[in-house]
Formats: sequence, structure tokens, C-alpha cells
Amino acid sequence: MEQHTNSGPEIIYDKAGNPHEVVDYNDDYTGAKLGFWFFLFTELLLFGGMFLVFSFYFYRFPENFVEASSTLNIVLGGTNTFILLVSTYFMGMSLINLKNGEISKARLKIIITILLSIAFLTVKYFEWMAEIHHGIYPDSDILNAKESGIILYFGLYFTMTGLHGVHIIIGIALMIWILILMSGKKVTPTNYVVLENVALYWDLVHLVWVFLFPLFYIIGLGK
Amino acid sequence: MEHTETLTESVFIKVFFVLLALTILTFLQPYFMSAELAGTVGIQMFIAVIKTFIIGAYYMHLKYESAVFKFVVATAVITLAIFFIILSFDAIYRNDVNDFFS
Repeated sequence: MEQHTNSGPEIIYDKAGNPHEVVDYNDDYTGAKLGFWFFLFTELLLFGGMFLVFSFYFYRFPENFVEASSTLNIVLGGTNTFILLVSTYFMGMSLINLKNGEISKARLKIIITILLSIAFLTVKYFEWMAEIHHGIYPDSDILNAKESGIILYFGLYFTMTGLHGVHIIIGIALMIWILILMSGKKVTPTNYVVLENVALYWDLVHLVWVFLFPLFYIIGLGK
Repeated sequence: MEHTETLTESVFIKVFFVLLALTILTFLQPYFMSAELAGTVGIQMFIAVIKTFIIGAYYMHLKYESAVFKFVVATAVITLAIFFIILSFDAIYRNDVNDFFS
């Protein structure tokens, strides 16, 4: 701790243990990741708040929630579950490839993740369109004529899967940004924290779906 | 601060197959274990929590991170858990939700 005396400069250590002066030092790997984890904290509370609302009304209207859930297309929901799982695999592998210096492999895996994300959104589009075609969307006359629990279920369904979909779109934009940074040699095998943070973001998007899927789709199969 | 242990490709692939197996279990559970609704929700949430731990530990690298990262995540999860505990009292002991809206 001798570095923190008034006479000497403040020193910070990078991931390889090399010392750097804090002044004009702009490669704080741990700080960059910790900052991103704080952002994920806010994301967790954002979605957590919605899951709180879901839990409350599910407890109050279990029959309505099961009835509404049984009308969802579990094949489409299940397909998206597998798409997201595989996409997180490719996203994580891209980071491992980049760390190992395999830049073209890393780039390819990010592109595959983008394509899988687009596939997820396409499936979600058809799913939403089918429901909207049946007159099921927030504040529709058909939905408003149903019981309170069913109205609440579909309100939450469109809000939560919609917000999750927005996160997928943001994720795609971030991945395209990463590809641009890689082309400009701003993300490299020795400077990869941006990709690591985007991979963390993608894992959180997957985690949210890990809870969304059973709560919205599987409960309809419960007796 | 030097990283002594990192996630290897082989571990990453193994974790993927564990997650895949748990995802398949998510699908099969209502068909093979004809539990009541409460049972189905309980088992499904149990599987989701296990998946969360695995994703957090390996895919999000928390297993390999220093204590400060684990502290941040634990704080977020505990904060959320407190909200759920408080809300559960509200949900269980509120007499009629419709009174609240009228």
C-alpha cells in the first residue's frame, strides 16, 4: 500500500498484474466490468419488479392465469427457449475464441449469435401476430370482455415479453457495434472487456427468459 | 488481482449440455410428473434457479471472479428477495384484491 502515500503517484494494477499510474490511465479492466455489473443490478431490479407483479396476480388469479397460459403456443415459446440457449453458447464461445487470439472464429460466432437473435424475434413476431389476429392484445374489446385475471395475464405477457424483445434488439445493436470495434482493432485478444460485458448482457437476457418461459408457457400445462 | 483460473472451452461446452438437459427437463416435467399447479410451479422455479446458478457461475464467470463481484450480485439478489418476501405477505393476507381497485 506504499503507492498511496502523498508523495508518489497512485498505482492501479491491470489483469496481468502490471502497474499503471491512475492519471490518464484508461484500461481499467476490473472497473469496466464492475461498472457493468452495477448496470446488470438495475436490470435485475427492473425485470424483478415485473416478476413481483406477475407473482402477486398469479397468486390472486391462478385459474385465470393457467387458462390464459394454455392458449399460448408452447412450440413457438419452446423454440425460442432453445434459440436463446444456443445463442448464449455462441456468444460465450466468441469471447473464449477472442481471448485465445482466434479473431475470425470469434467474429463468426458473434454473427451466428446475431442471426439466432433475429430468428428469436421472427418467432416472437409470428407468435404476437397470431395472438393479435385472435383479438388478444392490451385494451382490445375481446380481451377486455374476459375475466380480470386473463386481462392481467396478457397485459403482463405483452409487457414482459415486449421489454425482453427490446433487450434482444439492443443486444443485436451491441453485437454489430462489437463487430465494428473488432474491425477497427479496438476489441482485440488483449483488450476484450467490451465483448465480455456484452456477453454478460446477453447472459442476463437469457436468464430473464429462463424465468419468463415456465411462468408464461408451462403453467398452462399444470392441472 | 491476477486471474489464476479461467473458463476453458471444454468446461464451457459441458455446461452447455447441462443447461440443455435442464431445458429439456423444463419441457418434460408437466408431462412426466403430473403435479398439481403448485407442484409444477415449484419444480419449474427450482429448475430455473439451478439454471441461474449455473449460468451465473460459469457463463457469467462469477465462479472465477473476486469477492467484490460476488458481493454486488448477492446484494442485488438479496434486495430482490426482500421485495418478494414482503410482497408474499401482502399477497397472502390481503382479503380481496378487487376491494383495492374499487
